[in-house]
Amino acid sequence: MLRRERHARAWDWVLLGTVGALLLIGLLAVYSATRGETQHYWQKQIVFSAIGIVFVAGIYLIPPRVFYAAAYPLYGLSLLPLIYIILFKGDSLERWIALPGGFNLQPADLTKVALLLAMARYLSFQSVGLGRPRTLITPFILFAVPFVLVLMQPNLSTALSFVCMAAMMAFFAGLSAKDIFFLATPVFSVILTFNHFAWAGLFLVLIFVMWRNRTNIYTMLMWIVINIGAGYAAIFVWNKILYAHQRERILTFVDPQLDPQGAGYQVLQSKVAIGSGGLFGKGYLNGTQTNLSFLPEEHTDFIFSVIGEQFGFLGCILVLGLFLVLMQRILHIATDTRSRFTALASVGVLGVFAFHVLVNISMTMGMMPVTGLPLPFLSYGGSFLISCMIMLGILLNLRQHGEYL
Amino acid sequence: MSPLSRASSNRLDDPQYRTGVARALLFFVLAALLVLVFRLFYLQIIQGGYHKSLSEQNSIRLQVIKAPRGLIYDRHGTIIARNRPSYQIAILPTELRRGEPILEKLLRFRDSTGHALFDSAHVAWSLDRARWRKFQPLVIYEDAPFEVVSLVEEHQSDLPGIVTIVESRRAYPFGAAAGHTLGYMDEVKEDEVTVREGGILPDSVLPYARGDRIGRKGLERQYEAQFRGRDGLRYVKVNAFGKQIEVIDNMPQRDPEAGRNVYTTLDMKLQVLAESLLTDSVRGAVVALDPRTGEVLVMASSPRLDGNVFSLSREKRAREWARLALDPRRPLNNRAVSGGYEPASTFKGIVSLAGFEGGLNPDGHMPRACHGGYRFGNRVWRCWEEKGHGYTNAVTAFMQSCDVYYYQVGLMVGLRRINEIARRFGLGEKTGIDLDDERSGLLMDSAVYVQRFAKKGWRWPRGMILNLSIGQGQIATPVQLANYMAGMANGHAIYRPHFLREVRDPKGHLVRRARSEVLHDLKLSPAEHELIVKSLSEVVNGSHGTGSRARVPGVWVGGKTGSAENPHGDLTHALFIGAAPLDDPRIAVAVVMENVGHGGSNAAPIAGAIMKRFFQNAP
Repeated sequence: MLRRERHARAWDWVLLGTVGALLLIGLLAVYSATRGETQHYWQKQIVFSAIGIVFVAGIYLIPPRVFYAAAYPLYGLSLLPLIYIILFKGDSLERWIALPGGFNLQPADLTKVALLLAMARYLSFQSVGLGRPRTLITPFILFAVPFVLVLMQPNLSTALSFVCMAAMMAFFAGLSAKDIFFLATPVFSVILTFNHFAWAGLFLVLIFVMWRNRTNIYTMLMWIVINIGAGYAAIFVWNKILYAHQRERILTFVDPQLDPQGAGYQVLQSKVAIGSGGLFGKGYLNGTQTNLSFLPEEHTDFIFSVIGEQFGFLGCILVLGLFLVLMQRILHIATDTRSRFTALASVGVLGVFAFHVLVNISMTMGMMPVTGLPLPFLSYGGSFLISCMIMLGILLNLRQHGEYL
Repeated sequence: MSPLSRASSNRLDDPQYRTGVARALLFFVLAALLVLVFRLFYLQIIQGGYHKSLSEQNSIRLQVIKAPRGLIYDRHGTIIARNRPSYQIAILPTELRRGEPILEKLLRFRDSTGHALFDSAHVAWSLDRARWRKFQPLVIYEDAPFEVVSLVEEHQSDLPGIVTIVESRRAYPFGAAAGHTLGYMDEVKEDEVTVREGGILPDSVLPYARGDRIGRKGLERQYEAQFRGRDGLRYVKVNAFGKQIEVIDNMPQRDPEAGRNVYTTLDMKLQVLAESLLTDSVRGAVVALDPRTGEVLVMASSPRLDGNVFSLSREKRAREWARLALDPRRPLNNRAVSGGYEPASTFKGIVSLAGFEGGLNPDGHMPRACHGGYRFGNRVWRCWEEKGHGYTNAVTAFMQSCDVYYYQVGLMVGLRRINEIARRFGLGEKTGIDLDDERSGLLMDSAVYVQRFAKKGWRWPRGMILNLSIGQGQIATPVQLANYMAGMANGHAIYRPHFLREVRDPKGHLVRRARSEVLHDLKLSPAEHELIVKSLSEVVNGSHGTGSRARVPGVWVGGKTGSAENPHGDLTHALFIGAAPLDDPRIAVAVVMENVGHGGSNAAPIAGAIMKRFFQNAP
């Protein structure tokens, strides 16, 4: 091993400042949304933030090599609680394990971090490409096992966040956008079988892309067969294997607006809340929609509606700007390091954050189904906030010490 | 190079490649964020004014459209349970304005006698509760009369947050008729609420929201899953006074689905007749069955119970409930299924059959004649007829209900054989009728006796078998007695008594049809059946028959009287079981009346009148 002088990097104050600002805005919004309630959510959120900061500091002190070495064991361990949930809580919609002290652990949040490290480790020594399908087998299995387990919970949104993360990492590791499109087509096929016109459209797009790409005729046929197979397998499972209540549950997960009392109501109120904020907002603590508790999930999944109503368009732009800066800083880590592992892990974190931010905010504005996905650093909730802080801690650690990993 | 990275050429080591890919990712994120910005601009700037107006008036409301409950019909298609509109005055917590003296305003409403219309304590409590239960209307005046509703509607603009909700409630057009059978409804308890915000229910769980009503007793409870529909939901826009203006489009909406209708086997004409004969001052029960299927035609229990009172407002309901629950005559009990009576002489049919199966010659007489009593051990067991019946055979003993004859039969054939036959006729076990609270009754033998009276230290007295031979000591419910009668009349089987005929969906399509179910095969030989039919017939039509008052002109009626001694009064319980016509039985009746005297003079006429009306209606 070569001994090199450790080159002292300056702290990324912009990144830290951005996260700090987001946490602060989140606290303000949680306070505003829940101050009338008996439970002191904002106080708990302060505690969660403090725990999160302790985690960041603790993780910062761990030698970076540990993350690399422990990536696979951690990955294996993190699957156990998922299996536990499926085996013992299969009938309920609970996706968490209650820990002492009233803290609910969502194992999917931990699995996310473990999957990120494991994928980063594998992709850091194995370049991948669609032209060499064998290189894709291991990362596919790495990704598919937790994906299916989380999907079975059922927690569609978190499972999809895995997809976003894995896709971004694969893209960074060398898969082209076209490759990712091909890989994703079977998934699209499964979803689009609900509408045969849309499914036919997918085939047109697929064939067009392959034709433009000058794909040879056998590969072309293979992709078409795979897509038809995936679609009909989905139709078969849907009609013959699933029971009516299981189908209804899946439908409500895909489109919660089918349940008008739950999600449909929330989206309407959320749109009204955001829209009524106007340019400057109604002012802090002056939100009529959110403060009167029209929104049942205002402090968790719909925290952005609180911000939109009270701080208006300008406030929202500020929050979106902060997220953009955050993501730019994360990408900066990926380009600035010499370590492939560090770069890949950063991109993975970017994938998770980007998915949560984009899907959550779209959901509050009625552009996407309500799926119960929190907003990083802003939403109330310990498990997810701490998992975000863990990812942040890993990033800071790798940025600082992970140069030669 | 760190030892951890494998030395292989990799594109990731090329800084230019990385910068390019990172730039592409950033571009992707930026583009997506821009879409969000456009959407924000649209919602907040372009549609900002519209959304602001919506938010200021709080004018969006989720409206629950309650599904109508399924109806109950009798066998001729008459509605015996329907729905009526009921007006609730309620607080909508989200509409309340801070600082508005709602309580004072409401208390100003007074009726013609000067009493406040609203209960101040209840309104204050509801207002307090409104602070944390924000999504559900809180009812402050339940089942309001029309005057109150119009008064509140008139002052609507002055009462923000107070609304009138129309609800449908159960009404029983026949009043108390068949009240015990139909049962009643009540508001769900907190732990029965299954619909909570944001939850998805599996198909197996019926949806109940707070304030919904659920069947508590009788058929209402038994077929709750059929009656209950699925509530609809829609979003409406309301004006500042809480008046609905329009349904908001482009929002998910669900139409209500009405519950299914239940067609019962009850015959309301007979039911009303039976209840008019069994006056409220007498405690007792009447059951009439179709011996061919087990369909229940009549089930009456006295004192009667009017299910309508449970649909009244809370305080009226509470008052009625207290009255019913504290009444020493226990009107809440359905005596037809939960009243336990000694079968008395009606049990003698079973003992006759036990004698026949035990090898006694039905035409012969017993060793000792009846002189008004029978000496066994060191005491004399009396016959009900002090003058005595002399020598009797099986038919004449049954006709005159001679106790001395049956004492001797019981001693000869033994309890085991008697109870075995009684079990075949369904005594001592629940019939499994589709009502709750059914009692199983009791068949006594030495083991049961010792177990039952173990605490008192009683031992099985030898003379007990004499009492049991004349039906003193067993316990049977009126529905068991009717079923036993049905079995004696048809001679081959008893069926499970039931009320359900058909379940139909609101459009009239058949969902379910009840089938008759054999409870026990009686295994009677033709000779046995002939003996029992002859005996039953003689009771009603014979010159010395005890049941002559059950006669119906032109119809071959048979039956058996009973007069049960009991510790509750000087007079015996009057029993009569009967069936007609004996050659092709179509109705079997059991009448039990507490403490009124002899069965032949009190119970038999009621059974006769019911059978008479039955054959008038359906010749």
